[in-house]
Amino acid sequence: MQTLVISTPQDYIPVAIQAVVALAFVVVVIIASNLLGPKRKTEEKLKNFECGIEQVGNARRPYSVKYFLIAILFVLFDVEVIFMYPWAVNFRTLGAFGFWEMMVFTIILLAGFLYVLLKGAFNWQKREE
Amino acid sequence: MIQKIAWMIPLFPLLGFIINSFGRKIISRNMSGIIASLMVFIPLIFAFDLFFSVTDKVTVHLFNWISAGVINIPFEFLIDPLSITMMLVVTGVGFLIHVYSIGYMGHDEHANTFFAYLNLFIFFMLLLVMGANYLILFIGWEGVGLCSYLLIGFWYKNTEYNNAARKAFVMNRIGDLGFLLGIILMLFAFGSVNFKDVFPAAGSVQSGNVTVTIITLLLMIGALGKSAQIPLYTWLPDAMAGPTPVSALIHAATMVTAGIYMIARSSILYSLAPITSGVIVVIGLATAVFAASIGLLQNDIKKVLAYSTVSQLGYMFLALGLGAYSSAMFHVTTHAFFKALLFLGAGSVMHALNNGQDIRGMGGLRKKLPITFITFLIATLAISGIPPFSGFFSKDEILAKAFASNPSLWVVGMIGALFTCFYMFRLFYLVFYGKFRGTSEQEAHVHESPLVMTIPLIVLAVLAFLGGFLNFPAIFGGKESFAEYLKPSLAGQYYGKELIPHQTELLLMASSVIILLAVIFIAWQVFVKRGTVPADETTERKGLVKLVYNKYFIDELYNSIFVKPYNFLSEKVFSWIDRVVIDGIVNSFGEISIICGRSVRKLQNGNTSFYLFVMAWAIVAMFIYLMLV
Amino acid sequence: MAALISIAVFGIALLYIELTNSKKIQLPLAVVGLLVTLGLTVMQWNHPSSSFNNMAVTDNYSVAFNASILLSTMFVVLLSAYYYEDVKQHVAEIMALMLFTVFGAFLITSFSNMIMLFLGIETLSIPLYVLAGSKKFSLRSNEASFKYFLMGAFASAILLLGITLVYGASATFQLSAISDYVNNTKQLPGIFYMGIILILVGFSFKVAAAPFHFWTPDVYEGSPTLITAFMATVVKIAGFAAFYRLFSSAFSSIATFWEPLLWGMIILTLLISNFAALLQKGVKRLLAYSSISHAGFLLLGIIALNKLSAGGIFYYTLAYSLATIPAFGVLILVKNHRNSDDSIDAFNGLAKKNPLLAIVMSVALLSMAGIPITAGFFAKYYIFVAAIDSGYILLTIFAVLAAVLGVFYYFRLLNAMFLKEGEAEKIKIPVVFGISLLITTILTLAMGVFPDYIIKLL
Repeated sequence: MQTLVISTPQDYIPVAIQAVVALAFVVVVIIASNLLGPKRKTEEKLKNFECGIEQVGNARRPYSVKYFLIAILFVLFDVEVIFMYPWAVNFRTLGAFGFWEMMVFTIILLAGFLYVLLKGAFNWQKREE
Repeated sequence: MIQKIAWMIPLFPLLGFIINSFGRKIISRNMSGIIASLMVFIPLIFAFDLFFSVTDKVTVHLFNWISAGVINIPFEFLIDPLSITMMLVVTGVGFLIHVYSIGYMGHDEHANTFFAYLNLFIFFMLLLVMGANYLILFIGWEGVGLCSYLLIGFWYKNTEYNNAARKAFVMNRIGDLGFLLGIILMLFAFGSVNFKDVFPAAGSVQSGNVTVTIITLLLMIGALGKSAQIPLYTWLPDAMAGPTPVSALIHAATMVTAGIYMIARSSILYSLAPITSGVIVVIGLATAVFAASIGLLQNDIKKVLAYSTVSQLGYMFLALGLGAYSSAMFHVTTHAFFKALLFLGAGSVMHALNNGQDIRGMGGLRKKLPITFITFLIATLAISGIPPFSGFFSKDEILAKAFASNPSLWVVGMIGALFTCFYMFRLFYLVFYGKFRGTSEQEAHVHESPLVMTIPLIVLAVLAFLGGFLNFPAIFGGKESFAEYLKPSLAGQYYGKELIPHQTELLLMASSVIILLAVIFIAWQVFVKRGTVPADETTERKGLVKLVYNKYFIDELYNSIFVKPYNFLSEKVFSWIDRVVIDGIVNSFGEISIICGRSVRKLQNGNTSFYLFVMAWAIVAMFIYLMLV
Repeated sequence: MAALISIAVFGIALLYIELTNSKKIQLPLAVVGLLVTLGLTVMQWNHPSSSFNNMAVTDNYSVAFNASILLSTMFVVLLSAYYYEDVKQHVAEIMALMLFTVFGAFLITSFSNMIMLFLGIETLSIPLYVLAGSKKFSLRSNEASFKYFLMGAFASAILLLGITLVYGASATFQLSAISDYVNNTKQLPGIFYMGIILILVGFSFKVAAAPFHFWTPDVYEGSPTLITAFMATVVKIAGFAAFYRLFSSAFSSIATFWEPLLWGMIILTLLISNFAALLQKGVKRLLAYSSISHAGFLLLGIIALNKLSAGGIFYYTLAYSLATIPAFGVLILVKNHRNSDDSIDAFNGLAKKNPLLAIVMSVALLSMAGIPITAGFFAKYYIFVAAIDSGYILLTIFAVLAAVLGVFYYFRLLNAMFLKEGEAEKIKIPVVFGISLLITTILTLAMGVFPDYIIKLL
């Protein structure tokens, strides 16, 4: 487990070079296309692009909060599942201890899921009293 | 066993205070008085138990109170002969006065509050005498000052009484400041304020050491305030505004002797500071004679007793200054008996006369108030120093010590004693002999006080009579047991061979007794035979009489030296300074703070991006610091 | 470990209780949960142990701070009975979130690994973001929640970056290993120092030290008052416990580097908070600035970094909590009876009609101002002694001056309560509420009279 390699700032030079190159490439391309490309500004062209259809109203309209709720819950459980990949890979070495640990984790996760369910977070039709 | 639970002693009066103050609307007045008395009686029993079981020093450790760095102040009680003596006096006399108050204050609508304050006072007083370091002593010291303030102004509707209370408070604060500075200096010099650390450490200090002298002088200033010595004595006569039991308990028997106790407790320090001792001798003697001379012409029964208290405290100071700490403590004890008795007797007289205090309006009361008369007589004989009453032994011991030091001290002290004898018998004759000079209404009302008040009088009279035998002098074949008893506590006292030959001492005693008897006879001639009554207020007084009658104009002097110039300064000079300089500074300070405040508030503009912006720049500033180091 | 599990289980249980919507068992369950956890915590006294592969250690230091956190939470929960009397929904959830916050607090009082520190700080913070916005239909509460979240996320990111940089240099998260690394390396790399600075910034944000304090007044004012009391006490206790643990163990050998930074922050914190507090009209905002100034005093304990520090910080945080909770408690009552007016004028004449509330408030304020026989006096005393012991004389003098300045604004409130006339009406004090207030007041006085029992613990 012991890492004897002590990294120094010098070790990061290749990373820094790569970062600079990547950044420079983007910047250079944008500037270049800006300089080289032809520009003819008309009102139509400056409008928001909406799949060829005429623009209707403002894009910043209120959504139902339920979209967010579902979306966030999805992200939450999705991310939790990611934990299972490394666990599955190391399942043999972790042994029974690893198994029960994951059971505890899953139970807590399920408890959360059950709570959300009972709370009616997935009930699209639910009305506020 | 009793030593183990000695820490409970102060808790009883505290409990009494709590019960009486929280239950002041529920408990009846009599009940409250009984509870209060009981809460002083239990500690009295404890104190007796301690008296019989403790002969040396016992330290009762409660808990570590403050410890930080080098300072370590435990919460400890010191039980030794000195503190036991004080505990007995405080609880014993205190208990009798509590009982007496049941009768005396029974009709007052705020009686429950009164008893609560009295209990609180006893609590702080016990803390004061039992504390094993100067800090606990100081807390008790401040606490009794507070109770004294509350009780002087007990009848708070009277503005004058409130002023008296305030005067007492201010004068005591002056003294306390000295005391506190002394404690702080001690902390620096000895690194501790615990008795058990300071006193042994003082043993290795050379006599006349400057630091010790300054410490003792500062502590002495505290004692001057609390024990009403020149120049801080003027509050005590004014303090008579409080109810009479308060005057008896606080302003005669216990609180005012706290200064004496404190110096006796620090005897080892004072024995190392001859300069301070000299100062104490001068102040004590001057106060003794000076206050006694004022007493000669006072007409208010309580004022006479108040000046007498100041004078007697002066004698105690004299004894302290002479290094006769046990004599001072002995006088504290006997004085507590007879002065409390005098005050309670005066209270009984006032009770009979519907609170008349002017002795010109009294007279001929011996038939109507027989018990008060007899007990008052005993107390008067005791304070005058007639053998075999207690005052004779204690006062004579002090005077003998004074003679051994310097015969002229004895002469001056004797003059004070003559004054004392004269004004006491003047008071006594004017009150109890002759014809009644009050209104006819009062005459009809005159009655002996109820048993609850007379029994404490009788008990105190017995004590005032027999108290002297506690320290029966060697020349009469006594063992001076009181002085011997206190020996473990008074490291600074010289316990050696007699300093003056027995014949001389006997001669001194005899001459003083003869002179005193002569004085009593003269007083008899003037006030009883000729029936002289002091002139009333309108009479013009001249010369010395005018000077003494007006208490040497000390109050007026203080008024014109301190109060008037202060007022003048504050009106003329200070108003200018105040307006231009102080206001300028304060205003500009205020303006600066307000400007600072405003600018700080401007920073707090509620804009999150701005906050993050500042935070980011703060991090950048830190990185710049990183580059610099 | 047992205490951690217990607090988490009770938190989850409370969530499910919310579903039944029966208010009768919510409060008792929360109290029982806290008591059980307190029992489990106290049982660990003098039984040091480590858990999670040595990522967290339970020693007397963490037990003392945890007990103090639980005590504060207990009082807040007891006050909540009245505060949420008319609220129908979400009360148990709020309590559950409090318990989860305590869970996070436990982690950061006992971490011995930087990962655990970060996990703890996040677990502590995220429920707090929600709690700050728990008054769902109040715009101020929403604003507070959002601001807190934005800036808190910013600070967390900085802290994480700092941890990463330190890891980058030392190749370990373990505190003892970092300490060894510092002692055995002749020339520490620049990123290590940068890491320390960023960690310092992250902590300063959490404990509200200037110039990272900006969130405090806005968030404290906007949040529901009870939650403000909770944030001001629990977060502060835990934050300082972690702050001291990290800097006294991992970074103590290079104190000469970070102490000047802290020095500057202390001066800035004391200046800004006390001057700003002078002009505040709202009591809640005043208490927020007072909380910032206490952070300034507490930092003195960390900069002192000697054997008196741990005890001093512990005593100070406990004294501060025991003063803050009743102060906010009285504020809740007064505010409710004065139509949500929390200005100082709302306290006018409180002593006449409600002597008990006035006394409770006065003791709390006197304790905050550091007046003797209250706990606050010894709190400041021990911290100052510690700072002087380490040679920070000038800084201590400055702090004493700041404390004197502080007395002014506390006395403005006392003045209003005792000397001013106000249209007073008697405020009815609910039983549990009154008892909690009284207990905190008595504890404050008891700690002021017997400081040694607390200070000797650590």
